[in-house]
This record gives sequence, C-alpha cells and structure tokens, in this order.
Amino acid sequence: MDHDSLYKKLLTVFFLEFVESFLPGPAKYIDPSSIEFLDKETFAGIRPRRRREMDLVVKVRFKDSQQAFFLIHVEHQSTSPADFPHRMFRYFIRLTEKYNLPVYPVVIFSHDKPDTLVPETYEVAFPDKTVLQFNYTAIQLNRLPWRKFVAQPNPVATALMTRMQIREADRPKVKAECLRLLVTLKLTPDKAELIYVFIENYLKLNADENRIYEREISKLVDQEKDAAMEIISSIRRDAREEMLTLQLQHRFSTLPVAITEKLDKLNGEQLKELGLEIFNFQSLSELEEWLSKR
Amino acid sequence: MEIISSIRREAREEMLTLLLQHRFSALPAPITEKLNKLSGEQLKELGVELFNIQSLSEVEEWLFLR
Repeated sequence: MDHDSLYKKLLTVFFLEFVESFLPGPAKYIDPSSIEFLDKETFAGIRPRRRREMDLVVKVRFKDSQQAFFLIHVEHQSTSPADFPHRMFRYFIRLTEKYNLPVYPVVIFSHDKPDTLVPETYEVAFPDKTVLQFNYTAIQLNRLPWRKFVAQPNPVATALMTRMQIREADRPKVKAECLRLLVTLKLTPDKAELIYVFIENYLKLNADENRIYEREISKLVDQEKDAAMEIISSIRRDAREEMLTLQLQHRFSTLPVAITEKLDKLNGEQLKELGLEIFNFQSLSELEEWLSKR
Repeated sequence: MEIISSIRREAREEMLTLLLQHRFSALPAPITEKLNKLSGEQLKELGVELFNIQSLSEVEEWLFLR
C-alpha cells in the first residue's frame, strides 16, 4: 500500500471521525447514517502524467432531509504544486457533471515543508470583473498545532498528528502521545494497526529522539502498557495467519472456507505451530485433521 | 511500495526463520542477516517460494538475488 492509498484507507475506515475532527461545518449538517463511498474510477485520465488511484468521493445526505444529497470530495496531496487549485476545480466540474449534486471539496496537505499558507481558491479574473471564485477547504497539516488535537480521542486526529506542526524538540513526545492515544481509543486490531502504521511511518525518530521516546513510553500506566501489548500481539497473530493462508493457498491451490474459518479461530501460538507443520501435510485432509485436533 | 507496520514485518520474518530452522536446522549468520534486510513484501514472497526450495543453498541463492 503506497502513501495515497494509506490516506484513502484511513479516511474510508474512519470517515465520520475525520469529518468530526477536521470538517466542523459539515459535521453539523450531515446525516451520519447516509455515508456512501462512490466509484473510484471517476477520475481516470484526469491526472497529469500517470493514472493514480483517485481520492475519496462520498455521497451523504443533509440531516433533516430525506431527499437532499451532496458529495464530499477529499484529495490527499503530499506537495503543493502551482496547478493544484485548477486541478481541484476540474475535479469539481467532473463530479458535478457526473452526479449532478452539490460538491464540498476538501484537500489534505501532508507535506512537511514549506509551511507557507496554501491557496484555497481558484479564480478566473479579468481586469474588469471576477468571473469565478471557486473555494475549497485545505487542511494543511503542517500549520495545525498538534496540541490542539491531543485532547481528542479521535483516530484520524491521532494518525494525522504525525504530520502536524511539531517543534523539533517535541517530536519524541508527540510520538509517545500518539501511542498513548491509540491505546485509549480501544480500536479493533486491524483499525489499530492502520493508525499505528501512520505513527511509525510518518513520525520517524533518530537514535537520540528514540531514547527520549522510550523514556516517555515507560511513563505509560500499566493499563496503557497492557493495551499496547495486546495490540502488538494481535497484529502478530494476524500476520502469522496471513502468511499461513498465503502458503497454504499456494500449496493446495485453493483453501475451502471451512479451513479459513478454522484458521481464524487459532491463537498466535497455534498459528506458529502450524507454521512449522506446513511441509508435512500431503493433502488438505491432513491439514483438516491437524486443525480438528486444536 | 507496500507500507506495513514493523510489527507485521517482524512477525513474517519470525515465521520464516522458525520454518527454515525447523527444516534445515541451524541457520548460518549470513542467512539470518539477509532475512533481516528483506522488506515485508519480499518476506511474503519467500514464504511461498519455500515450497520450491529443497536445500539451504537454494535459500541462499534466492536471498542473494534480492
């Protein structure tokens, strides 16, 4: 999964949480039960150079209305190119034409530098008049102070905090805070891993910073440490199952659902044991027999 | 590039190390060092490739090509 797909996954899995933390306006008037993710092929061909997987388009309903829908379009940008406002406008046109619905355009800028303010408008102006002023919402992470989000138990805020405005000296502390927030969120293992991937990849520490980070982590209370360990061991368990499933599929070309269901129920230790056995199975029925004994 | 957590990557490496040890007994240091440097994606590949590998020298060869 590359950077863009990682952002897309974050926003898809936690769309409402994203709206709640970063789009306070729409948060007030969208109907949370009406979220529908639209086809990702919408932007095929519009991108310069290469065709990238497009960012997010979500159809939502206005609260207090049975009929009125609108779209929220979210782009992720790791740079701020000069032609971006124009591109944002073209997306807007494309979506408007295709769906004939009002569009609320949003972009998340995740670049580190520069921290100069990015534009939030695209204008077509002449000396005598402005023909068009197209406005969108830019969430420029490197201008958001992380402290503003540290009190929010929100998974998207925790993940994106890693790209926010952080003083050099605070970096280890912020990473530790992210981890603390992650364990207090009490997410399912796969969701927790998604946030963890952000923390690990987007707030990389050098050796000195790491020492401070370790010290900060050691200050976590026992309950938080236990929760962190639980997350780690469930990711490990899941990684083992993933590897085994792959190997068994390769070995027997297909895996019956009955078997994958049994694999789902094995604990980490059992999966490790099974990992050592895979060369001894001559047939699926031998695997089944092994599984039935657990 | 696939972005995964280091926890997941290490779990893959551990599974493979155990499996290789189980199959070929002790692993020479150069092999464990090589395993240490594989990406998450490569570890997954090796996990499947193991079914075509008969000897430790074939493992070495595979690793050498990465």
